[in-house]
Amino acid sequence: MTAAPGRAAGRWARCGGALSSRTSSGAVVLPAGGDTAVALSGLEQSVWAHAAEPVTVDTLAPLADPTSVAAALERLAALGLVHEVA
Amino acid sequence: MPESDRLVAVAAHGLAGSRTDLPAGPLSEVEWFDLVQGCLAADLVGFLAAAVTAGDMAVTPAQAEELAVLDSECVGLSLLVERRAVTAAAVVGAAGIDHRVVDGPARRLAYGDAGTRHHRAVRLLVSSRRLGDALALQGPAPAPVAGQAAHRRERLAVLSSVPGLAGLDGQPRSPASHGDAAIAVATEADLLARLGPAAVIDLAGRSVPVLTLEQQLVVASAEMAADPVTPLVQLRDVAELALCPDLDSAVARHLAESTRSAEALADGVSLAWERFDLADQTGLSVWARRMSGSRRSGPGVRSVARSSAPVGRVGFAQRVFGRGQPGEVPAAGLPLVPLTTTAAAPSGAPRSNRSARRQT
Repeated sequence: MTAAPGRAAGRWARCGGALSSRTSSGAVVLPAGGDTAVALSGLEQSVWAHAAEPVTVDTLAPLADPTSVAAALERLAALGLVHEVA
Repeated sequence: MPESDRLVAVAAHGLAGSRTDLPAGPLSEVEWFDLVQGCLAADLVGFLAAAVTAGDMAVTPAQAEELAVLDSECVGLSLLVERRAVTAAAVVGAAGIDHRVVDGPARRLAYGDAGTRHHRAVRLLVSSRRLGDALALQGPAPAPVAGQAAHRRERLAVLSSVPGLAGLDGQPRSPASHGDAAIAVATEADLLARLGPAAVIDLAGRSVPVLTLEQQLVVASAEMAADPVTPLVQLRDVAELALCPDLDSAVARHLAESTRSAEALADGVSLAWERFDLADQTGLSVWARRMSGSRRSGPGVRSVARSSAPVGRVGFAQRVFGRGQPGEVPAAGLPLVPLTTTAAAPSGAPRSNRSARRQT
């Protein structure tokens, strides 16, 4: 069973195959296999950038308050941009 | 400020040493609409967004919000084009066909991952011997659908030559006489081979071969020389590539000479320096100015032909958008940029690009 993003004790990493570009307000990412690019907020872009290597939620703590980080992780996971790793 | 000047200033934003001036304050709704539409048509929305984000151009909150949405949409479309390039490169590569991405994501070598340079299409260069194979791998062209946005086939072009360098493709040349014997001039190596080894970038976890900075600069300049009207964004590409710290200008010049495009390179670099009023001179810009300037001032057919080229280029905005008054069109005879720099910034408006720093 996968724990809820942000509250997971595990680590999180990027899903492969996504294309991205930075923009004035954050980043735009095209998930692997997706036909629609999505705009990421500044925090989401930061979380996604950190997840280039597997990271724990604790590692992401300096980015923002835990609730915001959890929400960012949750959205990134829903978009298929990050996934939980062992 | 004429709209054409605004577009040039937007296109120059982020170029080190540009003395072009951005609009002083928030534009009226009509002016803003015209500028945004002009930037959309010229693929300059990313540069406009960068100028606003950097605080180099004042806008109203509503204009900023509108621009952010538009910028994200344009970046998204560019990513779809990049996906197409990655897929096509993988398919062609799997078939053992040597290839290079000419533009589109290849521009990341110069611009980095900042999404300022949007693109609607990408070109894949292959050997002329394998062009048929590469085209066959793309499948049959689907029937166009009325009202549908650019189809995926329209976003990708597979080719074995580019405008301005087409004469270097592997087509047989006409015989030349040597003494009493007519000998056939050896078929030249095709463009892919003449350009040399590729650079490799990582896109979506795949290694994609692209033209190197030097190759991109030579190809972009050659294409500009072959087209009487130069899109501003292509001129920006030339400036961006020419100013890229990783560019080896000696390699670029050598490549231009070996592909018989040294004049095109010189003209392209000179034109970029003139249009964007770049104060910082480089070895390449000095060479280009000397070479381009000497031909312009010299006699002969070439100087006459060349003298007319900037007319079309200067009138780009008027030709493309069909607006602007005759008086707004800069004179055809653009002054050469002085070798001395350091023109002082104006004390007041309009805002200037001259404090711009290169994006990394």
